[in-house]
Amino acid sequence: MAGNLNPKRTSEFPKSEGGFVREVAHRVFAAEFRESNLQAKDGHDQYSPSYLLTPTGVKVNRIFVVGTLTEKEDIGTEAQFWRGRIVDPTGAFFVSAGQYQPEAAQVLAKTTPPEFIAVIGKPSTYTTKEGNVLTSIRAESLQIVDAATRDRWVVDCAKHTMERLERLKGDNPDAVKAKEHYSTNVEHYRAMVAQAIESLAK
Amino acid sequence: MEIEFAPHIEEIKRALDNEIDDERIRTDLVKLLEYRVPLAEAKRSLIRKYGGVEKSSVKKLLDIQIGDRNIEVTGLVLDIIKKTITVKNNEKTVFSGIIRDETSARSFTAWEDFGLNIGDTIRVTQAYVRNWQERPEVNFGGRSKVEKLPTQIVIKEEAQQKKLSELRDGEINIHSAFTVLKLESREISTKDGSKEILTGIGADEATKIPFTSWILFPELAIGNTIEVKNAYVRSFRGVPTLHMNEKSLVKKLDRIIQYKEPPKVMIGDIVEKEGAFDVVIEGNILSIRPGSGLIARCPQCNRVIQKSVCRVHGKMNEKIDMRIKAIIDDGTGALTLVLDAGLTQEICGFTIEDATLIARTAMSQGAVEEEIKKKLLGKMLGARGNMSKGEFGITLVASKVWESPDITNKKSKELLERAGYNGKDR
Repeated sequence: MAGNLNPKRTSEFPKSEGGFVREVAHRVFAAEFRESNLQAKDGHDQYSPSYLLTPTGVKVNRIFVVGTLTEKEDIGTEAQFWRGRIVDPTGAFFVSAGQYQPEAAQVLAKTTPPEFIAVIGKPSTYTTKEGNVLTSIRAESLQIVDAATRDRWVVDCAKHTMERLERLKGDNPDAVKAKEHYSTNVEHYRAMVAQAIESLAK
Repeated sequence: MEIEFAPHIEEIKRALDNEIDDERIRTDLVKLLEYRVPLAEAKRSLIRKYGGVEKSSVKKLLDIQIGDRNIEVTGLVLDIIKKTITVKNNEKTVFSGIIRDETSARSFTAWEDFGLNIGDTIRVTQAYVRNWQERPEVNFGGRSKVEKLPTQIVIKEEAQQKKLSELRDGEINIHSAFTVLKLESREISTKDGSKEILTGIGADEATKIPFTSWILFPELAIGNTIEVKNAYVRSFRGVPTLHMNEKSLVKKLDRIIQYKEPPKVMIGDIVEKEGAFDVVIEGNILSIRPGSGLIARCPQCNRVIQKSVCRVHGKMNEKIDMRIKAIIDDGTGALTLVLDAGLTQEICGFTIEDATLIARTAMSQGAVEEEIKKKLLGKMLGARGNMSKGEFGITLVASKVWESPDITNKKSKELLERAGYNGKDR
């Protein structure tokens, strides 16, 4: 059984670094990301990637967001640890970058809000004493972008979200799991997508 | 730990033709498990101990891979010839030929005389797959059991004809049809002197593929739609290429297959394939990889070199080049996009000379990489090129690259309608 964790990938691409495949960056709106609280893991191995399952049923190991940086703060005590608030049409993401993300931390340090910013990072969750789950993004890289890139992201994210909502009707395992856990209200998210797109028309 | 033994014992017994009594198997199994042997391994070793054979896993010929062992295939023998080969100074007679099922045709070698004839439908268990001239070949060895089936597999003519998108590396006996889009003749040198061959690009409705013909078939002419039988596939730089030789049959068709340029493909779809020829993708640049910007190459072999020392040619007068290696991701998949100096200039707006100046002013080679990051990170780009898989992961070497046109407004409207707003109900 050992050495057979992912037989499909390793046998198909024997040359590609033991079957390593880069995790896809998913596009998720802030409102949906904020409501996500289900951590999942693919295998039982300590090296298997962990995911955050969102209400529309996508397993996120990497996330791509373009929004407006509205606030930033260095909350580190000894080393720098930057936290930023990035706003999209539906809400806000919290983004963090510490000493292990030096490039991203530098970008946060030198950027003056407000500014359009692209974030590529990993989702992380924190459970409060009251049992609420707070989500944030640990930034891998941050980059200042223009308004057109931000608008394009909103459209792209809307498209992906719509596709996921349509997939929720089917029996895709992630979709089924999401419906079980969140009892996803499709109308609610459909309205969220519509609101996001309508905000572009102004 | 409670384990239900009965089903496992059943499974072992099945592999052993039920000759051994339950209690013995049970005692052995429990013992192995006590010694922390994993269950699957324990079952395997017990089957071996009692002289049984593990059940072969059933495979279609399209799905076989080099290194597969103990597989079961069923197919029709299309061709077989007797060959004498020398193994370790001993002469040995083997039989090699072609076997086909409804998914594909593959070459095979039988290391024993199984009494096979052309036209036999056979089921072979305990077969294995080896690499023969860079393609997977089915082997029937001493442990293989070959059973002739009374019923013939009938493979319909239409089922045999393949779309270009279905072709896989190593397939033989291919029947397909395509239109010749590009053609050129090339002179190559073989061991029998120079030889003229044809290379080109063919396409059916949805897929383009490069081809090589070792014979100057007159039917191969730009614009002709060709039906080809008995062709084979070899991968060249990760892209499947259709080959035709003296055994291939080429016929001009009266109908014309029209190639429709696909607008773009999802990255998630093409990364599932072995390679893709001339595809268009669109996605966001999520990372600029190390090795982007200004690089030095060996003037003789074009390898990227460090500190003017080539690992083959030693100290060289380096040649400066520029390129970008970036991760492009469209939310369905991710791959490495490679842009050469020309495309880098087109998309970033600086030439190699400009870049050299940037590096010199900043007194750092990394400055160019920074500049590229500023320009591209997060942006949505379209790109066209060939995708291949190799030791460096999945790569698309671009022949064209562009910034995605701004169609935010149009797309927004479409999406609103899809979401059931804007008055339209779905």
